Amino acid sequence: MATQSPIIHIEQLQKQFGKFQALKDVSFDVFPGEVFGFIGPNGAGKSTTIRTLLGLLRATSGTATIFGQDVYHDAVSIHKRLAYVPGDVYLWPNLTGGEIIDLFLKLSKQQHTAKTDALIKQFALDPTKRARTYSKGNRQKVALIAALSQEADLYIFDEPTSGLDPLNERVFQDAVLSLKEQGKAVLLSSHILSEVERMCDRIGIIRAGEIIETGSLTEMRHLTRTQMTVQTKQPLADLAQQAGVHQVTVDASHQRITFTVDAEAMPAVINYLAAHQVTAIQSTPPTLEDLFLRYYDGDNVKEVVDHV
Amino acid sequence: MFNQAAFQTGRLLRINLRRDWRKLLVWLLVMTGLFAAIAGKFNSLYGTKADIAQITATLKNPAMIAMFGRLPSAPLNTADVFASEMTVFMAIFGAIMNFTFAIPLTRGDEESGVTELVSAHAVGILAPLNAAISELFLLNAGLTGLYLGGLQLSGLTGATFAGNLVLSCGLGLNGFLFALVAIVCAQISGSSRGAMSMAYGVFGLAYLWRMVTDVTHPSLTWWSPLGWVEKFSSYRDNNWLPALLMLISIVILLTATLLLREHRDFNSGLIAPRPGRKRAVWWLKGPAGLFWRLDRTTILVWLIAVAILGASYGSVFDSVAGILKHNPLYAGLLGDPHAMHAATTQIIKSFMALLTIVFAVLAAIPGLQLINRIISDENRGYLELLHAGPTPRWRLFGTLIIGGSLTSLLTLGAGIAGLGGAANAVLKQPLPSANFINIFIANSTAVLLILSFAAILAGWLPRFTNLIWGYLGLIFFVGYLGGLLNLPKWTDKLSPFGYLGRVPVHTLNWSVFWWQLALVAVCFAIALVGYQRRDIAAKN
Repeated sequence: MATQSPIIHIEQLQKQFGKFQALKDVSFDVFPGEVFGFIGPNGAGKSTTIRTLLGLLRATSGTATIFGQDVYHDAVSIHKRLAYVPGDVYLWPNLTGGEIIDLFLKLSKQQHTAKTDALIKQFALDPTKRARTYSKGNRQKVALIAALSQEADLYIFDEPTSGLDPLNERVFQDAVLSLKEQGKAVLLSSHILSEVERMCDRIGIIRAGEIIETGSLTEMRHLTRTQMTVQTKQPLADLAQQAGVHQVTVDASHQRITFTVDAEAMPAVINYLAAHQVTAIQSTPPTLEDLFLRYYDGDNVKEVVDHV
Repeated sequence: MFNQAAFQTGRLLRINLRRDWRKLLVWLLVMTGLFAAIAGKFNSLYGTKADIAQITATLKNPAMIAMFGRLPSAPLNTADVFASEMTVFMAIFGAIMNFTFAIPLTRGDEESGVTELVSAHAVGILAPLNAAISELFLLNAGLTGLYLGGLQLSGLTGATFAGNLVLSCGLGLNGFLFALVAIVCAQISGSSRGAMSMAYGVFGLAYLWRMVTDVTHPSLTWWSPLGWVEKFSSYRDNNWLPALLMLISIVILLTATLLLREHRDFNSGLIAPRPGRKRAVWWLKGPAGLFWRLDRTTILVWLIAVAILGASYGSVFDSVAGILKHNPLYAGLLGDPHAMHAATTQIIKSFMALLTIVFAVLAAIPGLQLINRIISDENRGYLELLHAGPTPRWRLFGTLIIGGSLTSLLTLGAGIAGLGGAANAVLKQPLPSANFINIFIANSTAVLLILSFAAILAGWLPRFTNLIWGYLGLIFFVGYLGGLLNLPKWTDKLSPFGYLGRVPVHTLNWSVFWWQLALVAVCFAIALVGYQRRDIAAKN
């Protein structure tokens, strides 16, 4: 993948709103054929980053390119090959959903195709209703249908499923996976971590305007500990003394021991366990939620006002 | 039951007042300041018998009656002249002020979701509506008190306490009446924008009825709510009957509001929205198609309304011509048809020059609304998806600038065409159409200049776009009343119309036309550069 040139390339992006520094240091790349998950708490700078990528905001410093072109100066030619769905979709109340979908397609020089009709059906949208009467989820569907029926090379979704029901969420996830198979690049910002876990190849975590971690979920899991529960024939008296083993708790009644282990100590610990005749073993890899909470839990998560 | 429905009205009122106090204060200060300052100035303007006689002759002219209302019969004192010149004018501004509060307080808060959040708490179902009505009542009551104080302090010659009281109460009641008209519209219409248009529609009809009947059948003016303020006949008769009519109407409107509110759902009107198109029409494919689709009804309504207003003014021009026959000053001309015709034409032309400010200011409004879409739609989040598409920013804003300019020019043209058409239909000797074309050309650049200032604000200082409405108010004030109030010459130069000369009395000054047009182009270019460079705000 590294041999391919990135679709999105961001380097040390900074954005200042008056005295407030919304983005301090944001760098990451998104490559063709991958879904990049962008996660972080409210007000961390996700939407500011995305709105800068769209050329709506001008970066204070740093570089951001899409298709190798500057996101601000070449916005028009970039946007010809880009589709976007914001987290909160607001539409002209007098127009119907059908009219708005057609308008956005035509603005991008695209046609209303059979695919568009199929998407309208899949998302169960009534296109004859006026936007005034749509709920948040229905407005989001309008933007999703317009974006997904568009032929683009990069898709940017900013919390696209926050108003959707589980059925529609599944329709969206399937659509994104098929985009990935077609080799498109997808930037997905989301709070639904199971969704990110399921779909994303790589993840970037942003906190207070800084990217604090990027990598695949597997790589990230290496940064944290795996939880293990074991039963052995021989007592594990010196388990707590093994390198890389933490939080040992003994459930005496069931002769079960639960502990966590560092990723790099895993082979040694497995050998050690095997030597004690394992009868049952269960290992739970850390979920994205565990990772997320590890980065944020109490760790000076500042209340940052959404300054976008 | 009622207690339940009105629960927490007082608390909501306090919250609303805390939110609105700046806007309330500005309106109260500007309105009172304007009114009291003019009252204070009247002694020096129309203090002597000769001055009064001269202004009476002017105001007796049907064209002036159409603009300011009817004058009581002689002998008049300074206070009588003040009341006849200012009552209708202040009533117009009072209605506008109340509309700008009434609609946002009711449908505006429903649309933005504020009412929904509030209603989820232990708040009566009618409390938000009651709080809005209470705020409007306080606003108009406060204005009445300030007017009364201002008039008392101004030392207007011939003014009595009884007259000051009836005038202040009349204007206050008139304001509250139109506030309730707006609130009734807010119950019927499907959106706040629709409610605002409907309220202005009712107001426009009331104004037209008052204007036409004032000139032709003053007794019929009683049928227009806007005519009632005149019928107070402040200082002269101090007639309280219109106040009674206003109170009765207020009770009727309040009842109607409550009944209508019962019969509609939250954030929807009485008219259920019909399903619309499944697919877009072929021309809805770019910014121009989009804005035409969004605003075509508004634009057409403006064109027709201003054309009707123009025709109404034009239809009284024969009375202007007729008045000369009864004026002893012109008696000598009676035997000479040519001189008579020339004098008539001269008078009609000078009224046309004065009237043009009305059409020009009205013509600016729909254009400004269109250009300000670049801000209002940005703030509502509508433009986010458009900006993420391949439409360049300059094209989006440029489309609105061109659309706004065309709309304003067409509206100006419609008003002048209506004026000319009706005038030439009633006049025995029609005026050459070149007169009307010249009025249009002369005023077109000034109207465009107002639009270009608004565009600069939108491109560079998006938070201050509302300043343009204050500027438009100033332009109207200087143009409409400047002459009668004998304002200093420099005030005229604050308005782009102050440089034109009084076309068609004076000839069209092409050099002014060209420099204003050049300035318009420069301003629009500056605005586009600013819009191309600045950050686009997220919904707020």
